[in-house]
Amino acid sequence: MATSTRAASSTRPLWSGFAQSAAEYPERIALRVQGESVSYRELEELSSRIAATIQVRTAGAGSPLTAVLAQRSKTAFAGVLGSLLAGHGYVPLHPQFPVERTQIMLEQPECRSLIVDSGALDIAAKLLENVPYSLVVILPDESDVADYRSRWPRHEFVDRLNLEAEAAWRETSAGTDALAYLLFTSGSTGLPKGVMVAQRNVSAFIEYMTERYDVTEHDRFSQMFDMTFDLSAFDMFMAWEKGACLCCPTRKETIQPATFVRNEELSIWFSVPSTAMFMKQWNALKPNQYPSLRLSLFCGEPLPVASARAWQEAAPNSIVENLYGPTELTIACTLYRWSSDSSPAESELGIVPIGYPCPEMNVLVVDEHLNEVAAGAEGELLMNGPQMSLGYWKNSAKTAAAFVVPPGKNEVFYRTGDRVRKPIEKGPLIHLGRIDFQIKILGHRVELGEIEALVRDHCGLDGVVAVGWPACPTGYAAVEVFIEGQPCADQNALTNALANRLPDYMVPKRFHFLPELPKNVNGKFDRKALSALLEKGL
Amino acid sequence: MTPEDVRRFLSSYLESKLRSRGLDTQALPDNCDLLLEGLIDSFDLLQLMTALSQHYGHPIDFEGLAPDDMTVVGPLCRYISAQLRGPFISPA
Repeated sequence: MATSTRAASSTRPLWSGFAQSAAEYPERIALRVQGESVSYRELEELSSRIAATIQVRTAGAGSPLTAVLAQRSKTAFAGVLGSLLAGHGYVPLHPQFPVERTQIMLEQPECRSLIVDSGALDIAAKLLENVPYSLVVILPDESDVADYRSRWPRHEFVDRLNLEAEAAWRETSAGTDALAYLLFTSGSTGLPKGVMVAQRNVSAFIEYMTERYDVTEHDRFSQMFDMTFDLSAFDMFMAWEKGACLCCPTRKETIQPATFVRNEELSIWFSVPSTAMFMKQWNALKPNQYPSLRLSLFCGEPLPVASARAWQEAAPNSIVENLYGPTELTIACTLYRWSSDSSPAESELGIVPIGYPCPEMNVLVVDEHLNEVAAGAEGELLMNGPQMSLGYWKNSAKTAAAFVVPPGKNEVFYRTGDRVRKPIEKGPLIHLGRIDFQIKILGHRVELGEIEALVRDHCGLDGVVAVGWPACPTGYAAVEVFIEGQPCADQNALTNALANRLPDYMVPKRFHFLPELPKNVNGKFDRKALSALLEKGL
Repeated sequence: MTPEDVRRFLSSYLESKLRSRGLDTQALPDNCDLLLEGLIDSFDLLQLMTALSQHYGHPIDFEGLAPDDMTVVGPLCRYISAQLRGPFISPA
């Protein structure tokens, strides 16, 4: 591979950090996955061959995006790198999401190439049946695709024996807005929406964070996030930027994180706070249990003070930081360093502050008219800067609604929908909740409106309200749905219909049919009254 | 509380997921690994343990359960059954 030198500018391609590390440390381990150690040289070779295959077989047709239907495998990570090397952004698809949802994520961005690992062949078969146009399907784990060719002649299949040679890869000149990834999040109108994150957004973040944390080739990163979660980009590109090792747990290890940290001798941990809560409840946060960790990061949902404190005791050699950031602001845009001495006093409602903005990221805290509030007051958090993404894929209405120019400003800011307290003097930002009906379940964004729209569609009833239930310190554990009207004959059919469209964490646990749903003084459904019914044990 | 009772609770708790995957809701086999079958993840496991404790009105200490057995139906049901019979009874 012809490698670009490690440039200081965030205009460089996102893959250049990996390429430079591969040139400097070809025999170091880039990836630990499924019990296998993959060197930088090996990963570079496979990624380059995938990239060359995309370049040769798609030859500029379709959008500059490649879908990766793979999880926790060498192919998954090589697929991400291969897409970027081909000059494409990647669209991560989750093998355990419903086929219908995955098909939307594949077709909406008009992906012409699809990379599939061996663990995702079943869902790939269902997708290939339904996708109406021709795809280039790259199967690096397979050595014979004759059966696929005969079953789906409209698609083109490439197995590992027929990947293009590494030398066939050509560096492309990416534009300033070249995409790193298109990541789908829950959408309030019933369909997921794709956030366009540019390579320059990610590079700006990675350049700052690798310096902030002094990452070296000796570091070993956890990789706890699925690729459909944008925090996975942190682990990959932080590690590969400096020649470090990315360690991916097996499915069994995801429920045994203590064993995973010890066996892999991790130095850098990154997860949602729910994982820390989980470990605390499983008695896996004993004092000094994780001496190898030098850095512990949490993001994706509120971090309870009790979890931060317990983690700090279990990892006494580690810096503990709370990160905050919606996908639209690229991975994380504010940071807060935990201190056992001073942080409890800075926290509110038992939740650790979200801290201070990353360099060059600008903060506004505004009222409902988008005018700035006074210091110490509550308001919606707006931010802009080099990490602000490009908006939503082919959805100008949603982009215009979320990316706005506030009164008196001449720059676009992203409306996070998060309610924060504006700092007094140099204090940290405090996260207080949401201004809308979005909730977090295990760090995943869930628009209750998306669930309500699907229930309305299935039942033909208008009065539908989804509520997060039960509450937990980091958000909610699940969703329950209230429906105004007579119980439908087959609630299992309703559950199945939703399970066919939504990931597991969004499928309601229970449905409650009431003759009339309570309303507030404005005539709107009273969500608090409905939550109170659940509180009473409905 | 026998292991069969616990198995019935598990089947009921996981009914919608079993049904959506076309699996038998009445017969969870001993060797079914709930994690590897994709029926639960780490957080579902925590919720399940909480639900079991609440359902039986008895705290369950999972520290004695071998990590590899934590999500396998047979060993899990036997362990919980033993735990529910008293805090000092070994599940072996």
